Amino acid sequence: MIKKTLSATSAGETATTTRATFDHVRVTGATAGTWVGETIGHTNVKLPALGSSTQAGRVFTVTGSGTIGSGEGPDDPIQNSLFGLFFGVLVLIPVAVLFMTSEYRRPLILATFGASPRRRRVLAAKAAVIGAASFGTGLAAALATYLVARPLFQARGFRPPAFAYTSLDQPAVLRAVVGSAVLVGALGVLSLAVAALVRRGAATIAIVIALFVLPVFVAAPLRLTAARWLVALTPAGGLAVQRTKPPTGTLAEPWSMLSPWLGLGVVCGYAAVALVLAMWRVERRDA
Amino acid sequence: MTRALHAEWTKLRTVPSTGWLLLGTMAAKVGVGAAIAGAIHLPACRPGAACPADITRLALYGTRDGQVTVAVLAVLAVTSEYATGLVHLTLAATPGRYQAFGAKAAATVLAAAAAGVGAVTAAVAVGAWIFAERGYTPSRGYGLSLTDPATLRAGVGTVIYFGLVALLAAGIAAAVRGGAAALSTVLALLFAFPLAAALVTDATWQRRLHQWSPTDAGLNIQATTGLAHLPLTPWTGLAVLAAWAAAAAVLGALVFRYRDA
Repeated sequence: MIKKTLSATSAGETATTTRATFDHVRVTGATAGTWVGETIGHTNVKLPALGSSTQAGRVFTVTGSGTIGSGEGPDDPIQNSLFGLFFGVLVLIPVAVLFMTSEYRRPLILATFGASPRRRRVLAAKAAVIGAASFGTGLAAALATYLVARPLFQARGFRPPAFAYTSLDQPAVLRAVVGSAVLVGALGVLSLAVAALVRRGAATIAIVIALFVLPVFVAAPLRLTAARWLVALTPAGGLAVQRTKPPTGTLAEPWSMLSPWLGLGVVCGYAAVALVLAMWRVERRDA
Repeated sequence: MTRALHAEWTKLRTVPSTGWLLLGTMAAKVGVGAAIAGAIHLPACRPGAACPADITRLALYGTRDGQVTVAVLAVLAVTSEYATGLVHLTLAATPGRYQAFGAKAAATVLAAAAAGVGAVTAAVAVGAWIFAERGYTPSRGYGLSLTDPATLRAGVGTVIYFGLVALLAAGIAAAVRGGAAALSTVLALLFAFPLAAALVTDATWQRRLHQWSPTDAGLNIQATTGLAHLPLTPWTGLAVLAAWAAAAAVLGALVFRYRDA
């Protein structure tokens, strides 16, 4: 059960027990033997007792907790496990910002521009360094997260037949893991570029955090269409790349409504535009 | 103390960024509140029944955004002195370090609270107008006015909330001293809890995170409906934020007192 209420911005899952009765079950064609039942689903000890099924003639009564029928529902264990990168990014942003603004605080920037007077090239080099460093860190973190979280999720019920088997050689899983790293790299470049434009460390961090974090909170009480627009137009939507299942509006995370490539494209677009602006500005403004 | 306070107030008032940041606080708060009032679809309110939607809280929703500029203001008020070396002059003029830090914290809190008064008044006025335009009228059970005791409590509480966030940020800034590091710490403290709570599916832990978070606990003060279902009562929630702010202020004051400037 996903609760989307106006007084709280959280969503939680609560197990409920339900009963379904199937009467007049018929088999057409020839059969051999009797009905065979199997209990599937998770074995989380905190949930109520697992379901049961009884048969009386041609009437079957199924009682239990969870999804009855085909389809896995919107929950995505890959997306959930990779979400921790969000907190890693909160640490990365100041690192990328300080990489630029600390040059201005101690006038190291004068020496830097003295050594290489073509300023756009300096900025491009700094962007390449921070982009590669954050991409590499992000990739290592995403891979490690996936490898550690996968068996844990499986142990807690996210396994076949209720949930599909996942593997790194599946395109969607690979896209989520590598895409998370690209997201981290793009946010590093975005932070650096905004820092080159603004030059003040604290102000830059406030701007980047506002672009990346605040839309999540503002989207919470909005209608789905408005929330979708908000995350589609801000870097917060980039987290959509962590999703391996089709977009959905039923989850608490507003970026779940975007397609992965749209979300990643928005972040890369922000980073590219900010970098171009910064290159244009750094040529014209005194260091 | 009056002189120290006057000095800190002058320093804060005469820096151009202060005005812009306070203006930004108000703009963020009013803008987000107006955007939500315009974009939200509320359930119909049955006559005689208590309305399910809390339009006071929705009109004040921009607090989460406005607090970012408040934090920037408070962090810069402390750390810019270290960046420029002004802190040596400050301490020469006011050798009592607790006094100097207290005056700075007080000036910052006052500025944040002043911006809060403007922001809350404007957000309630703009929210009342937009909600009424969209049909959420008193005749249908929706009403937004500061004369309503619950709304007044939410508004006053929001002003105090801004002041406490400023105190929290000033304390952390005095402990950390670097502007970027201090602001990151403050923003992480403000935003990490609610994000973690959104991720955790265990209801007990989710409730705990909402109770411990300075942001989530403090914002309980804005609730005017469904008070029985809050993780904390409004004033207890604000007290949680006050405890965080007090702890940060004590830490900041101690570091400021015992570490070389």
